[in-house]
Amino acid sequence: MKSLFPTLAIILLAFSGSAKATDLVGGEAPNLLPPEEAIKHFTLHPDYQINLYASEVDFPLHSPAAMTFDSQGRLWVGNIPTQPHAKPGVPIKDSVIILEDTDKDGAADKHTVFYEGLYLPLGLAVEDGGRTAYVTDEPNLVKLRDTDGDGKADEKEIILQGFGTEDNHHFISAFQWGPDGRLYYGQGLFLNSQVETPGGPVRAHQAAVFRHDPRINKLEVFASFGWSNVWGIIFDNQGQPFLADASPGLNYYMSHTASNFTFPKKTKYDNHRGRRDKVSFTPSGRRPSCGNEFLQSDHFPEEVRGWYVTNQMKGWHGVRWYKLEESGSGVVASQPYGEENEMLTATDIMFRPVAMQIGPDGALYVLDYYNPIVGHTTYNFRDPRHIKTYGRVWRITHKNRPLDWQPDILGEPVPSLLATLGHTNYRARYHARRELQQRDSDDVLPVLEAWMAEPGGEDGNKKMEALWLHQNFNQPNFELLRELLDSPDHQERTAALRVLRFWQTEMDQDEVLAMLEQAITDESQRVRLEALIDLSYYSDPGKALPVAALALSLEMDEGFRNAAYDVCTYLTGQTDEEVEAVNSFLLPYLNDEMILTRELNESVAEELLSRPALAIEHHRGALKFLAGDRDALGYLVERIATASDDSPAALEKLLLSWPTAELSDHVEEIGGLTAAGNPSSIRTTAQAILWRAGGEKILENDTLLAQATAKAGRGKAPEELHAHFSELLASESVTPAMVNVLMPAVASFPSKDSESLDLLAATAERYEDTNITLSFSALQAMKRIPQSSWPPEYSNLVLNSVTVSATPDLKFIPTEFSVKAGSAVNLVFRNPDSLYHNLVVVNAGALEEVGLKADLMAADPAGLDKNYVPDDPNVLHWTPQITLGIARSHTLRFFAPDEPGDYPYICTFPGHWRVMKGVMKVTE
Amino acid sequence: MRENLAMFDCMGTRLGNRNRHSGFFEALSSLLTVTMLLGSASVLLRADESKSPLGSGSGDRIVILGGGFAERLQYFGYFETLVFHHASSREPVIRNMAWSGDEVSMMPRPYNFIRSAGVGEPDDPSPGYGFAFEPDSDHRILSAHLKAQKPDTILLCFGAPESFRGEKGLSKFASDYQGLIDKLLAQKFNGESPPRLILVSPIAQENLGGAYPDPSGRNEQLKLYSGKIEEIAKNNELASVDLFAPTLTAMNGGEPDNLTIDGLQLNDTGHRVVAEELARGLGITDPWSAAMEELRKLVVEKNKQFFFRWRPINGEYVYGRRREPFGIVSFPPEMEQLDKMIAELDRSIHSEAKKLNPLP
Repeated sequence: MKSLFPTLAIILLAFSGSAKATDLVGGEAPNLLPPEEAIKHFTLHPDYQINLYASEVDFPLHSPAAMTFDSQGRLWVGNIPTQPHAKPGVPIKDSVIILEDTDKDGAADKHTVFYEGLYLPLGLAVEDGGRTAYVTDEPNLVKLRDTDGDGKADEKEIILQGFGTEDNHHFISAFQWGPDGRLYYGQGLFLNSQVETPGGPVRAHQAAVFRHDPRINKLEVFASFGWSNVWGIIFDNQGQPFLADASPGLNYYMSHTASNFTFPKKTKYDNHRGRRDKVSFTPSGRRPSCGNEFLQSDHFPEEVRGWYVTNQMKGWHGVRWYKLEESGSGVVASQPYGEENEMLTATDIMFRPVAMQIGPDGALYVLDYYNPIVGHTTYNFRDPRHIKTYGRVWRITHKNRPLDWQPDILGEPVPSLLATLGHTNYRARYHARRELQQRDSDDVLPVLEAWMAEPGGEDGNKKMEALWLHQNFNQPNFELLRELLDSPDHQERTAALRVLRFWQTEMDQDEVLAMLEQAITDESQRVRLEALIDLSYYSDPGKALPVAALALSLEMDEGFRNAAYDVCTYLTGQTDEEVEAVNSFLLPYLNDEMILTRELNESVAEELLSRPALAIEHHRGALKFLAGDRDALGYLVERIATASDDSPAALEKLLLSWPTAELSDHVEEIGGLTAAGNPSSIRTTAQAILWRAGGEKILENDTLLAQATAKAGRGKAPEELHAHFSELLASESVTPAMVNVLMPAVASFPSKDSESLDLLAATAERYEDTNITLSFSALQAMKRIPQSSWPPEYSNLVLNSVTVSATPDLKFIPTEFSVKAGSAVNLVFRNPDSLYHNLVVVNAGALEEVGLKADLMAADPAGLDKNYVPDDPNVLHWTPQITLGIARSHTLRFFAPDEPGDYPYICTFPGHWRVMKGVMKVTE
Repeated sequence: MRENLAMFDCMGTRLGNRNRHSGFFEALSSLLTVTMLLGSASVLLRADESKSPLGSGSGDRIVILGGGFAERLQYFGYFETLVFHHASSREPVIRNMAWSGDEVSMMPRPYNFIRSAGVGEPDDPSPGYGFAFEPDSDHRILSAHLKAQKPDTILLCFGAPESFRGEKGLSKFASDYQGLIDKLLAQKFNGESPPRLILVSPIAQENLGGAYPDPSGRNEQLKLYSGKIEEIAKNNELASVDLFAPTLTAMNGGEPDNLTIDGLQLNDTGHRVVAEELARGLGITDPWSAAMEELRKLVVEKNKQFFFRWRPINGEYVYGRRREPFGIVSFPPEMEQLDKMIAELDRSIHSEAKKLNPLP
């Protein structure tokens, strides 16, 4: 606000800074280094160097979070000192500034404050030579205009309202102009957006990528998936979109997620969570990935040119680089220099790279939020270590290679802009494309036509660029589209299909379907993927469905399967048509509850048999259905004998549960299953069944015999085996693997229970110190023997099995469990959350002490490596920090303390312990 | 004002640091109370005021509900300014609780948003990752927030998002709207009587030419829904304001400038024109004048602080699934502070309105 009304000023002043001092989480004062010191804490690949482009020392860089270059090579930065939350009465002064390197020495020497007074400019895009910027001003998207050309905005207009803000850094961000002239941006988890546009309300739920045409305020959802926090969207030279999901540190080839199956059509957000790691092309556990870019300029040597780079700034701080190669429907990432030779590694943990872009000189610029604290969940909102006056821009260059400058772009004639579309610095193409996109179509398209007719421009993707310009101007060129669809170059076919997604409504629908029918069986999986996506947008889902089905019999990778799941689910829900191939494809994605509601047919029956965890009556029903008129047991034995699966678990389960009385007719076939050459699990099951049917011992091998004994159940195997197994188990030379197999076998002879209990108790003790897993297995095996046979002295040899889960609202479920003093505890800790959590059992009364020590570890660069588990004698048992993508669960095996009492268990990720806590009650 | 500032400085010093800011607040409020008492000494009522659907009560509380059109009113403040100016002596309190995309039977709210009202608890406080919102089709969350705001009058500005469904959605719209009306009239948010409801129609869609689509089809739909709204109002004997017809006229040349930024969303001129139209529909005939600009600034600031209060960003940390461990420490005192600021801004608005219109 320019002139503050006096009364207003007083009110604002009167209320500022009066927030009650609150308890701060423990922790040392952060060690904030000046830029000249911080730079010493960087390590780069030996061919590269880093220099400071700008810092808070010379420029108003105050907690910067967004950056983009403009067509003149100026760097625009969004500052968010208000993070994490505006304080009542304190004016909100987040800003957009412009940095310039006027003498081209690689360091900024001039700045302009374009606008001050925004709330969290996390998303920032510039056009019109810097006269217009699109910026987030939570909860809105605003357009800032510099109408008089003084480099400062004098108009602010809210252009879209209604984006979700439930977690402020999940707000729409990662602004990027697409090759089609639209603005793309993404939102993250927890957000519910309902934006009213001239074309109707647009709703998005949880993570989504929007496609926005600000010229007419047309908004649509472009992609949706189970991302946490979209914090990077870029397009490669072929116009293929890539996405960085910050929180879990995963990266995506975005077409895998770009179908029409969006909210509110899609309501099963959870379906995606299990697929996040599989669809990502980078490994999990490297979080968060904030910002992404391609090293696509000739300043970078050929061996790394085009590599994908992404920042990481929790646990490990630096810039990771990945070589991407086309693979299947997407890409495969590799690190030819190894994980230990990343592009940039920082040991100063205040270094927080949050965005990056190739500059006008072809070098890589990295925006540094420089702050002790990032994110919300770990620190108090008013922790004074949310510092607000630091921020840096670093510049990474190759030591021996010339820069790759972009040519003049702003105001240049159309022919020279078209020539720039083939530039080696791909950001030069980006800015030239945007410049062309904003010109009058009458000035561009005729020149474009002439350019297309001439030779030259082949350095770039000439035909694709032409197609995109037509798309930008909303003047479809169907002839060019057809030409590209038939191109021998599969990248041109891919690009054309990406445009067809939007043009198809304006074309003859039969022709569109014919195009898609051709593309859906293309030799390239990438092409097939785009055709599949297009089919989800086709006007008649009933006709699209059988065409989509054609792709399902061809090779599909995980990314393709994700898209196929979305497209097939969507199309199936839109039509009454049934396509068997589609139904069979979708069956594995249905959860157990859903599949049981399906009418039984061959595919459903086979699917039921592929899920051993289902209740056995469902397997019986499926088997009966498949057997038809045949004898069910005979059919079952035949299925097992010919199974392609190494371990047809449900079938074995069925066989094992078959009524003994009916087995006698099939003793011979079952005996046949024991033959060497069959999988051992089938051989042992067959032997177990034979024993039940009164048959004889066929197997000879000790391991197999022991397994068959356990499978047959108590009292079925010949008694003479007990002595043999006991002898083996007690022997000096027995291997742990053999011990594991022998223990349940030994416990299978009711007449020998007393001896077996002694032997198993001794075995539990034998391995207590050296192999607790084995020791616990002995206790488990003892459970096979009825309690009535147990002597009183073994009453404490109980194995407690407990599962504790982390929840998204920072809690444990359950918050309490009881165990007997000295008993064995098998504690499985699960974490389905995308935040790090662990489980630490601490001494009675030591919760606070251990928790505060864990908080202190937040300042330790190696804190995460140490799993934030303090070196303290009160820590009794602990799991590592796990999160979605690293591991879903971790098992602790320990003996409960001998001293009864309340033993707390907590998550020691700094800050979490105050709410993530429970009690293990140890009773007499 | 200079004198007042000096006075606060003295107070601040005298009270010492500990209570310094609450001292500021008390000083400010007592000062303004004096001003208000002086002002109200010369209050006179206009004869025709009881006829205004806004009512004639002193200190009446008015809540605005609806979708993007109504939500956007808060950033411009013209309509509220005209109301405050007109009813300066009666000191109404206005709260804009509209939310972009809201429909009569679908007002999706973030999980646990009900907690932000301070009235009521969520059904399922920890829904995991399933949905990020509750659709609130039964208006339970809305009712809780209305209970907190105690409106005597509610302006209902619904229908624009629904109208995209055209004729086939019309009867459902009507029955859903009736459901909302019944639900609201069955409650006494102010503790005494059911709210006075005023039904406001959507505005027309403007033809901006160029790449913008021709809105004539849209205007057919909007006309249909506006007519239905008027019918619903009549059936229920409720006041209504038709914005569709006058805005269509204004857009078709009645006004020289464009009224919207994109055909749908009003620009500054559009907000002024529509505010006058809406006010006129409520019996307020004084047009906008430049002298009201400072009042308008206070209104916009009040709306901003109220937005931070009832619909804060970081909702998951303020009232949602991640309010523990830190949100519950930081935010409750800050929300109290916002309440005080908003009350203070209300008082400043009343005092400024009285300055402008001492003899309403």
